[in-house]
Amino acid sequence: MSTLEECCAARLLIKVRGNLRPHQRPDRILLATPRAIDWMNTVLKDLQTDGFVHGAIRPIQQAGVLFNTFVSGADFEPPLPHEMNPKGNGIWEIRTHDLRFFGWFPMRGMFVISDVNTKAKCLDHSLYAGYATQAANDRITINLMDGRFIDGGLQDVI
Amino acid sequence: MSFDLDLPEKDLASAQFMTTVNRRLIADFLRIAKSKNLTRKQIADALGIDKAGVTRMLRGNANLTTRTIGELCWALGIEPDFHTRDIVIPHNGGAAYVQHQPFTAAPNHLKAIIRKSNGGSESPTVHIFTQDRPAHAPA
Repeated sequence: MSTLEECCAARLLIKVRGNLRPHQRPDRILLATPRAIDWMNTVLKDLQTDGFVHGAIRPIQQAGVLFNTFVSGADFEPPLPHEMNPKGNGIWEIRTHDLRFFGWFPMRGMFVISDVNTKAKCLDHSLYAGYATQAANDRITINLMDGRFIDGGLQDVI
Repeated sequence: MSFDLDLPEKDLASAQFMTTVNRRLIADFLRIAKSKNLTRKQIADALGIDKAGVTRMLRGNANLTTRTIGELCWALGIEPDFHTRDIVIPHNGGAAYVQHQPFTAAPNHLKAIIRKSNGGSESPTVHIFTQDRPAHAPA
Protein backbone atom coordinates (compact mmCIF):
# COMPACT_ATOMS: atom_id res chain seq x y z
CA MET A 1 0.00 0.00 0.00
CA SER A 2 1.26 3.49 -0.87
CA THR A 3 0.31 6.42 1.27
CA LEU A 4 -0.24 9.89 -0.11
CA GLU A 5 3.12 10.99 1.30
CA GLU A 6 4.91 8.04 -0.30
CA CYS A 7 3.31 8.69 -3.69
CA CYS A 8 4.29 12.37 -3.53
CA ALA A 9 7.83 11.58 -2.34
CA ALA A 10 8.25 9.13 -5.23
CA ARG A 11 6.89 11.83 -7.56
CA LEU A 12 4.16 9.53 -8.78
CA LEU A 13 1.74 12.26 -7.78
CA ILE A 14 2.06 16.00 -7.33
CA LYS A 15 -0.12 18.04 -5.04
CA VAL A 16 -2.09 20.80 -6.79
CA ARG A 17 -2.37 23.71 -4.38
CA GLY A 18 -5.27 25.36 -6.21
CA ASN A 19 -3.83 28.91 -6.36
CA LEU A 20 -5.51 29.66 -3.05
CA ARG A 21 -6.15 33.33 -2.33
CA PRO A 22 -5.16 34.99 0.97
CA HIS A 23 -8.54 34.38 2.61
CA GLN A 24 -8.78 30.73 1.55
CA ARG A 25 -7.62 27.55 3.26
CA PRO A 26 -7.40 24.06 1.75
CA ASP A 27 -10.39 21.89 2.45
CA ARG A 28 -10.02 19.19 -0.22
CA ILE A 29 -7.00 17.47 -1.76
CA LEU A 30 -6.19 17.62 -5.46
CA LEU A 31 -3.38 15.56 -6.97
CA ALA A 32 -2.09 15.12 -10.50
CA THR A 33 0.26 12.81 -12.33
CA PRO A 34 3.53 14.32 -13.61
CA ARG A 35 2.16 13.79 -17.14
CA ALA A 36 -0.84 16.04 -16.42
CA ILE A 37 1.40 18.64 -14.74
CA ASP A 38 3.70 18.67 -17.78
CA TRP A 39 0.74 19.31 -20.05
CA MET A 40 -0.44 22.19 -17.88
CA ASN A 41 3.06 23.67 -17.74
CA THR A 42 3.59 23.49 -21.49
CA VAL A 43 0.32 23.40 -23.44
CA LEU A 44 -2.22 24.98 -21.13
CA LYS A 45 -0.50 28.28 -20.46
CA ASP A 46 -0.81 29.53 -24.05
CA LEU A 47 -4.05 27.80 -24.95
CA GLN A 48 -6.96 29.88 -26.21
CA THR A 49 -10.64 28.99 -25.96
CA ASP A 50 -12.04 27.18 -29.00
CA GLY A 51 -14.79 29.80 -29.33
CA PHE A 52 -17.70 27.38 -28.89
CA VAL A 53 -18.82 29.32 -25.83
CA HIS A 54 -18.85 32.96 -26.84
CA GLY A 55 -16.85 35.07 -24.41
CA ALA A 56 -15.47 32.10 -22.47
CA ILE A 57 -12.52 32.78 -20.18
CA ARG A 58 -9.11 31.37 -21.17
CA PRO A 59 -8.55 27.66 -20.53
CA ILE A 60 -5.87 28.36 -17.89
CA GLN A 61 -8.45 30.49 -16.05
CA GLN A 62 -11.02 27.71 -16.40
CA ALA A 63 -8.52 25.31 -14.83
CA GLY A 64 -7.68 27.88 -12.14
CA VAL A 65 -11.31 28.29 -11.15
CA LEU A 66 -11.87 24.53 -11.11
CA PHE A 67 -8.79 23.82 -8.98
CA ASN A 68 -9.45 26.72 -6.63
CA THR A 69 -13.10 25.76 -6.16
CA PHE A 70 -12.17 22.17 -5.45
CA VAL A 71 -9.22 22.76 -3.13
CA SER A 72 -10.82 25.59 -1.16
CA GLY A 73 -13.85 23.42 -0.49
CA ALA A 74 -16.06 26.05 -2.08
CA ASP A 75 -19.58 25.31 -3.12
CA PHE A 76 -19.63 22.88 -6.05
CA GLU A 77 -23.37 22.52 -5.83
CA PRO A 78 -25.19 22.75 -7.99
CA PRO A 79 -22.80 21.68 -10.69
CA LEU A 80 -23.54 22.92 -14.17
CA PRO A 81 -25.19 20.22 -16.26
CA HIS A 82 -22.61 17.67 -17.46
CA GLU A 83 -19.82 19.36 -15.48
CA MET A 84 -18.83 16.18 -13.62
CA ASN A 85 -19.45 12.88 -15.32
CA PRO A 86 -18.85 9.43 -13.87
CA LYS A 87 -17.42 7.30 -16.69
CA GLY A 88 -17.89 3.96 -14.96
CA ASN A 89 -15.40 1.91 -12.95
CA GLY A 90 -14.91 4.85 -10.60
CA ILE A 91 -13.38 7.07 -13.27
CA TRP A 92 -14.63 10.63 -13.56
CA GLU A 93 -14.46 13.22 -16.29
CA ILE A 94 -14.52 16.81 -15.06
CA ARG A 95 -15.31 19.41 -17.69
CA THR A 96 -14.74 23.08 -18.22
CA HIS A 97 -15.76 24.83 -21.43
CA ASP A 98 -12.52 23.83 -23.17
CA LEU A 99 -10.85 21.21 -20.97
CA ARG A 100 -11.45 17.60 -20.02
CA PHE A 101 -9.83 16.18 -16.86
CA PHE A 102 -9.84 12.44 -16.25
CA GLY A 103 -9.18 10.80 -12.91
CA TRP A 104 -10.60 9.17 -9.83
CA PHE A 105 -11.59 9.89 -6.24
CA PRO A 106 -9.56 7.74 -3.80
CA MET A 107 -11.83 9.09 -1.07
CA ARG A 108 -14.44 11.78 -0.62
CA GLY A 109 -12.89 15.21 -1.23
CA MET A 110 -9.70 13.86 -2.84
CA PHE A 111 -9.31 13.76 -6.62
CA VAL A 112 -6.39 12.49 -8.70
CA ILE A 113 -6.01 13.93 -12.20
CA SER A 114 -4.63 11.20 -14.41
CA ASP A 115 -4.59 13.25 -17.60
CA VAL A 116 -6.07 16.32 -19.24
CA ASN A 117 -6.62 17.52 -22.76
CA THR A 118 -8.76 19.94 -24.71
CA LYS A 119 -12.36 19.16 -25.53
CA ALA A 120 -11.50 19.61 -29.22
CA LYS A 121 -8.69 17.01 -29.13
CA CYS A 122 -10.83 14.56 -27.15
CA LEU A 123 -13.65 14.87 -29.67
CA ASP A 124 -11.59 14.99 -32.86
CA HIS A 125 -9.49 11.97 -31.92
CA SER A 126 -12.13 10.06 -29.90
CA LEU A 127 -9.90 10.03 -26.83
CA TYR A 128 -12.54 9.72 -24.09
CA ALA A 129 -12.46 5.93 -23.73
CA GLY A 130 -8.67 5.87 -23.94
CA TYR A 131 -8.29 8.44 -21.18
CA ALA A 132 -10.74 6.54 -18.97
CA THR A 133 -8.75 3.33 -19.47
CA GLN A 134 -5.48 5.14 -18.83
CA ALA A 135 -6.86 6.59 -15.59
CA ALA A 136 -7.91 3.12 -14.42
CA ASN A 137 -4.41 1.82 -15.24
CA ASP A 138 -2.81 4.75 -13.40
CA ARG A 139 -4.94 3.92 -10.38
CA ILE A 140 -3.53 0.40 -10.32
CA THR A 141 0.06 1.42 -11.05
CA ILE A 142 0.23 4.28 -8.56
CA ASN A 143 -1.60 2.16 -5.98
CA LEU A 144 -2.48 5.09 -3.77
CA MET A 145 -4.23 3.67 -0.69
CA ASP A 146 -4.25 0.21 -2.28
CA GLY A 147 -5.87 1.59 -5.41
CA ARG A 148 -8.93 2.56 -3.42
CA PHE A 149 -11.61 4.59 -5.18
CA ILE A 150 -15.17 5.78 -4.71
CA ASP A 151 -17.65 4.44 -7.20
CA GLY A 152 -20.74 6.54 -6.75
CA GLY A 153 -22.51 9.75 -7.61
CA LEU A 154 -21.59 13.36 -7.11
CA GLN A 155 -22.88 13.45 -3.55
CA ASP A 156 -20.51 10.60 -2.67
CA VAL A 157 -17.34 12.24 -3.93
CA ILE A 158 -17.46 15.92 -2.94
CA MET B 1 6.58 18.91 -4.45
CA SER B 2 3.46 20.89 -5.29
CA PHE B 3 2.02 22.82 -8.18
CA ASP B 4 0.17 26.07 -8.80
CA LEU B 5 -0.94 27.36 -12.17
CA ASP B 6 0.97 30.35 -13.49
CA LEU B 7 -2.08 32.57 -13.07
CA PRO B 8 -2.11 36.04 -11.46
CA GLU B 9 -4.53 36.35 -8.55
CA LYS B 10 -6.38 39.13 -10.37
CA ASP B 11 -7.07 36.84 -13.34
CA LEU B 12 -8.19 34.04 -11.07
CA ALA B 13 -10.45 36.34 -9.04
CA SER B 14 -12.18 37.76 -12.11
CA ALA B 15 -12.56 34.34 -13.71
CA GLN B 16 -13.96 32.99 -10.45
CA PHE B 17 -16.45 35.82 -10.25
CA MET B 18 -17.72 35.22 -13.79
CA THR B 19 -17.97 31.48 -13.22
CA THR B 20 -19.76 31.86 -9.90
CA VAL B 21 -22.25 34.35 -11.29
CA ASN B 22 -23.04 32.04 -14.20
CA ARG B 23 -23.28 28.96 -11.98
CA ARG B 24 -25.63 30.56 -9.46
CA LEU B 25 -27.76 32.32 -12.02
CA ILE B 26 -28.25 29.15 -14.04
CA ALA B 27 -29.10 27.20 -10.89
CA ASP B 28 -31.66 29.84 -9.92
CA PHE B 29 -33.09 30.09 -13.42
CA LEU B 30 -33.56 26.30 -13.58
CA ARG B 31 -35.11 26.21 -10.12
CA ILE B 32 -37.49 29.08 -10.84
CA ALA B 33 -38.49 27.76 -14.27
CA LYS B 34 -39.30 24.42 -12.66
CA SER B 35 -41.27 26.00 -9.83
CA LYS B 36 -43.32 28.01 -12.34
CA ASN B 37 -43.71 25.07 -14.73
CA LEU B 38 -42.10 27.08 -17.51
CA THR B 39 -40.67 24.99 -20.34
CA ARG B 40 -37.61 25.97 -22.34
CA LYS B 41 -39.92 26.34 -25.34
CA GLN B 42 -42.09 28.84 -23.45
CA ILE B 43 -39.02 30.82 -22.33
CA ALA B 44 -37.67 30.76 -25.89
CA ASP B 45 -41.00 31.96 -27.29
CA ALA B 46 -41.12 34.79 -24.76
CA LEU B 47 -37.60 35.86 -25.72
CA GLY B 48 -38.18 35.39 -29.45
CA ILE B 49 -35.29 32.94 -29.84
CA ASP B 50 -35.15 29.23 -30.59
CA LYS B 51 -35.30 26.58 -27.88
CA ALA B 52 -31.73 25.50 -28.57
CA GLY B 53 -30.54 28.97 -27.58
CA VAL B 54 -32.24 28.69 -24.18
CA THR B 55 -30.84 25.19 -23.73
CA ARG B 56 -27.32 26.44 -24.44
CA MET B 57 -27.74 29.19 -21.84
CA LEU B 58 -29.15 26.90 -19.17
CA ARG B 59 -26.49 24.25 -19.74
CA GLY B 60 -23.76 26.80 -19.16
CA ASN B 61 -22.72 26.65 -22.82
CA ALA B 62 -23.21 30.34 -23.33
CA ASN B 63 -21.60 33.27 -21.62
CA LEU B 64 -24.46 35.16 -19.97
CA THR B 65 -24.19 38.85 -20.72
CA THR B 66 -25.99 41.36 -18.54
CA ARG B 67 -28.46 41.82 -21.38
CA THR B 68 -29.12 38.06 -21.51
CA ILE B 69 -29.50 37.93 -17.74
CA GLY B 70 -31.99 40.80 -17.88
CA GLU B 71 -33.98 39.11 -20.63
CA LEU B 72 -34.05 35.76 -18.84
CA CYS B 73 -35.14 37.47 -15.61
CA TRP B 74 -37.92 39.18 -17.54
CA ALA B 75 -39.03 35.92 -19.14
CA LEU B 76 -39.08 34.21 -15.74
CA GLY B 77 -40.82 37.12 -14.01
CA ILE B 78 -38.07 37.81 -11.52
CA GLU B 79 -35.65 40.57 -10.60
CA PRO B 80 -32.03 40.30 -9.50
CA ASP B 81 -31.21 41.38 -5.97
CA PHE B 82 -27.63 42.51 -5.42
CA HIS B 83 -25.58 42.28 -2.25
CA THR B 84 -21.93 43.05 -1.63
CA ARG B 85 -19.72 41.93 1.21
CA ASP B 86 -16.18 42.58 2.37
CA ILE B 87 -13.73 39.74 2.80
CA VAL B 88 -12.28 39.90 6.29
CA ILE B 89 -9.20 37.80 6.96
CA PRO B 90 -9.00 36.83 10.64
CA HIS B 91 -5.51 36.42 12.16
CA ASN B 92 -6.12 32.72 12.70
CA GLY B 93 -6.89 32.10 9.03
CA GLY B 94 -10.13 31.34 7.26
CA ALA B 95 -12.42 33.95 5.89
CA ALA B 96 -15.39 35.75 7.32
CA TYR B 97 -17.74 37.94 5.41
CA VAL B 98 -19.45 41.14 6.40
CA GLN B 99 -22.55 41.51 4.34
CA HIS B 100 -23.68 44.95 3.28
CA GLN B 101 -27.28 45.97 3.15
CA PRO B 102 -28.82 45.12 -0.21
CA PHE B 103 -28.84 48.39 -2.10
CA THR B 104 -31.85 47.49 -4.20
CA ALA B 105 -33.96 46.29 -1.34
CA ALA B 106 -37.07 48.20 -0.53
CA PRO B 107 -37.41 49.42 3.07
CA ASN B 108 -39.24 46.97 5.30
CA HIS B 109 -42.46 48.96 5.40
CA LEU B 110 -42.49 48.97 1.58
CA LYS B 111 -41.74 45.26 1.45
CA ALA B 112 -44.86 44.64 3.51
CA ILE B 113 -46.92 46.69 1.09
CA ILE B 114 -45.39 44.90 -1.89
CA ARG B 115 -46.10 41.55 -0.26
CA LYS B 116 -49.69 42.56 0.35
CA SER B 117 -50.14 43.75 -3.23
CA ASN B 118 -48.76 40.44 -4.45
CA GLY B 119 -51.37 38.56 -2.51
CA GLY B 120 -49.06 37.91 0.41
CA SER B 121 -46.16 36.42 -1.47
CA GLU B 122 -42.84 37.84 -2.59
CA SER B 123 -41.46 37.23 -6.05
CA PRO B 124 -38.41 34.96 -6.07
CA THR B 125 -35.19 36.86 -6.50
CA VAL B 126 -31.78 36.03 -7.90
CA HIS B 127 -28.98 36.83 -5.50
CA ILE B 128 -25.69 37.97 -6.94
CA PHE B 129 -22.91 38.45 -4.41
CA THR B 130 -19.83 40.52 -5.02
CA GLN B 131 -16.77 40.44 -2.83
CA ASP B 132 -14.37 43.32 -2.25
CA ARG B 133 -10.73 42.45 -2.23
CA PRO B 134 -9.37 43.46 1.20
CA ALA B 135 -7.13 46.49 1.10
CA HIS B 136 -4.34 44.68 2.98
CA ALA B 137 -4.29 41.59 0.73
CA PRO B 138 -1.24 41.20 -1.48
CA ALA B 139 -1.78 42.25 -5.08
